[in-house]
Amino acid sequence: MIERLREVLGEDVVSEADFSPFRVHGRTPPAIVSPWNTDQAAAALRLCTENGWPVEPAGAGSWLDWGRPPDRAGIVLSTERMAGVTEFEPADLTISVAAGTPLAEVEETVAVDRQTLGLDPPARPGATIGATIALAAAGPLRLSLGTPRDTVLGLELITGDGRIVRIGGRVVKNVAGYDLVRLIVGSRGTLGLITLAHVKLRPAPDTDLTAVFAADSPEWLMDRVYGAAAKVWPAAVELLAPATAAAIGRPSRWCLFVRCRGNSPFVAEARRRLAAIAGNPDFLSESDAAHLWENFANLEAQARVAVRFATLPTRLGDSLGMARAAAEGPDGQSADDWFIAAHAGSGIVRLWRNETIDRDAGRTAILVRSIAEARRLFGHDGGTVTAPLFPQGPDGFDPFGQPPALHELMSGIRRVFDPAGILTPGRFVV
Amino acid sequence: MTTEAVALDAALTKRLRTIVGRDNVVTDPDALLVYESDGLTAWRLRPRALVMPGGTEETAEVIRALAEANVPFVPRGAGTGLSGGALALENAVVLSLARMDRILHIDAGNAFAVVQPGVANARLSAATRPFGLYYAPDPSSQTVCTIGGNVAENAGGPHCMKYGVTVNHILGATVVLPDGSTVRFGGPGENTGYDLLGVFVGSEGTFGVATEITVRLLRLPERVETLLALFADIDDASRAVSAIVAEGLLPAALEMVDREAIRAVEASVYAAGLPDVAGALVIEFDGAAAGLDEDAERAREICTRMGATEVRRAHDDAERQRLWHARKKAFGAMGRLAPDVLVQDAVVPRSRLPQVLHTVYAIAAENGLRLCNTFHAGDGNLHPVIPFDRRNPEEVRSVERASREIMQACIEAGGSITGEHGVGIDKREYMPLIFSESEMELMCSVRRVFNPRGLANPAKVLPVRVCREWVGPATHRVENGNRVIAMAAAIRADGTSDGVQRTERVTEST
Repeated sequence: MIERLREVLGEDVVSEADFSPFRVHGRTPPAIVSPWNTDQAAAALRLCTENGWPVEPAGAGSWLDWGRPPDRAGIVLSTERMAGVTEFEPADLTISVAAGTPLAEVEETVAVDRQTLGLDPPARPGATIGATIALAAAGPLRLSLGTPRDTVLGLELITGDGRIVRIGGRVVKNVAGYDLVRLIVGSRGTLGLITLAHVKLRPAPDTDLTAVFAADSPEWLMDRVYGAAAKVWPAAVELLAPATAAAIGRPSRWCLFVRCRGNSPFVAEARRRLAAIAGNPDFLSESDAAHLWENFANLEAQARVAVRFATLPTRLGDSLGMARAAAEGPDGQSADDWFIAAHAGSGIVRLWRNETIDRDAGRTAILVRSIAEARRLFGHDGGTVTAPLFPQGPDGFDPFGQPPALHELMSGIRRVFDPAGILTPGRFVV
Repeated sequence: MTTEAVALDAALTKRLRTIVGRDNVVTDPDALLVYESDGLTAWRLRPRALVMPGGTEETAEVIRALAEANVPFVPRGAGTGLSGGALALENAVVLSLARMDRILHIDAGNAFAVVQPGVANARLSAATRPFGLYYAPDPSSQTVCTIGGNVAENAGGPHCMKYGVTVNHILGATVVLPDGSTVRFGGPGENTGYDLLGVFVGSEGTFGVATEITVRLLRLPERVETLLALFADIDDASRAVSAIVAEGLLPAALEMVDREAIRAVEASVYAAGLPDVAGALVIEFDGAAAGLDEDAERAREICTRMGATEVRRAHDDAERQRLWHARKKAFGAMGRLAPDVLVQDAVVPRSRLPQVLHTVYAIAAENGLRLCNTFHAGDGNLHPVIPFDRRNPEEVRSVERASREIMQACIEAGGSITGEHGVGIDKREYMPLIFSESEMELMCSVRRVFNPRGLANPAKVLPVRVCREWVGPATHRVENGNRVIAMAAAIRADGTSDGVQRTERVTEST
């Protein structure tokens, strides 16, 4: 296989993976293919489709342990060499970037013109925009700036069988034909390899304020602070459990981070109103706040096991209860190596651990049971519980909990984009 | 070989009446006249029947009955669409969602509402206002157009600059698929698979029918600031748009009107006392009260710097309405100038506006047409408006030629053939200008997943030669001005079809 790949794609594109950072569920892939351009990547996918070789689409390799372990170990096809801004006109408030461009590099490029991409997923340094889009990954700023579903205008995509297609466009409003971009965002590489993205930008705020409220219980913060804080038009509201707060250098208490971004009169008014709320918030300097948010994202980016409980914002307490129960050991004590945080305004609670639990059958069982219970409690219309990272999940464990009613439509779509089923097989919902 | 649509057979009519009630199936040709076109009145075709289900289950039963009889259907809201999307091609039955007009639930705590598809856009916002909430997308037909129609077209509006289009505000939908089965897309929580809801929005009724829609509601702004900036040179107005965007302001709306549009409005009952200038911008900021004044003043300063001769700022609601007249009443005012009006819809990257506007004016001049522009400048979403007389075949040809040239210019600038009106029937033939065969085939394949037999809104969105799953015995005529377009399905001896053939000929105007 490696010889054939080298023959078609060239020596420098294919490497054996022994010393590479790319590992999928702890396993070294049979080969790493790092094309220099779209045509090479398409040739690789055509070859893999012809031979039925499975492929793991990747960027910098930050998120390869997601979902179930693959059915068969696939070649890693990475966009790491397809990087760089291809077009940026500040007056358009959009940018076109190759998929392998690190998020941080996009932000640096547009910051010169006081603009921002506004995607703040928990990502390792070097995480690419292509992977962020493939996972629909977003962070606390989703409350005000949305997720990649709201940001991506158009994509260049190579389907599983090597067709190069341009979907969507580079303009901010576009209803020409079906919005296939929506299908690709969040499809985790199962519908194709993203090679180029056209995305929306936002004006960078003049001022960025973060207030930290601390208390001994999350209920107090949600009942006494959250409602009032939500009224100051916050850009992000994040609730952290004590262990999570402690891990990023705050006192070990429940914390509510409230972030406000805008022009200075707006932020000054937000500050005045936040100061009047019970709880005597700590207002961070802009540099301290930047650090805090960075540390927080880094902490979550190191997750090796992660579960997400998502429901209506008013049911955040239920999600929090489920996450806390799942973090408890058999002795009923909450372990401090489990982290909990919530996008309070969006109703999403994350529970994660930065070490795997592969040698702890008791822990694994508790987690599996908690996820099943939470899914039962939410039912089909109450919310979702997913385990995007749970590499040691037992056989038969379903990380996504996708209701079967939509299975047929989803498999149909999968077949359209990846007729041979070579793209990261067995890991996502179809 | 062209005929009018054939009537439904008696057994099917009876079955449909049993499902929805006798009065909710209309077959009388005179009563069906109202449904022969949507907002794009140049295309007309009387449907063979109209069915009005009263809820999700009735819709599913109707669609099942139609599917069993191999009869296609066209979902229809208020019929305000501007791309002919509700035209009943291929002998389709019109499925009107007008009876399904209830707001089912408003959840103020979680800022969403569940509505039936026939709820008018503005009515939804009015109903949620007492809770301090509103529904953001505001197409200009919002007093009548429905949420179901908005979802089908992924409708936009002036305030999309800051808030995004319909798809950014839809949280879930109950959908009856073309085989009559009912599924649920989206809902509370996160996507656990492919974003079927996202691709359903904007599918123009070709993937199925949304019978219950969950929409995101936004908190009402604390304050609104509206400016009207007048320019002696249209280029200055365009440059002001670019500068406002580049200098980091994010208005809720940033709209432009040109001289012809202002003249038309000033000659109408909506006259706002505007001088004869080359162009005007309506700039609106909303949201938190604090900081809004500063944004408005910065916008004023930018406009002045770019050469605005005057910048007016509304001091109260009545004044704000007046400032908006120049923009909102322009279509209507242009309509008084000629028997017919063509409203185009195209998008360009915002920075290309000045150059594209020049090209658009040049195209109109070369074709001997009047043309005005009244559009969403902040989004680069152009709406060239061309008054014409459809009884004049030469003028019709000029309008069509100009239309295509305008599309071409927008595409060359890196834009798209439609920003918010949809493809429908009107722009199918423009699709190859921006998508390759393999891209259109991909779209067709995705449609086939939802709509394998092509029964939902047949022959729309994609050029017929690309997506040809509809094999029914359709033969009928569609009138577009003085053109008669005949569509016929070639049926093979074994009963299968090799697809719909489209022939086109210009007949004498009568």
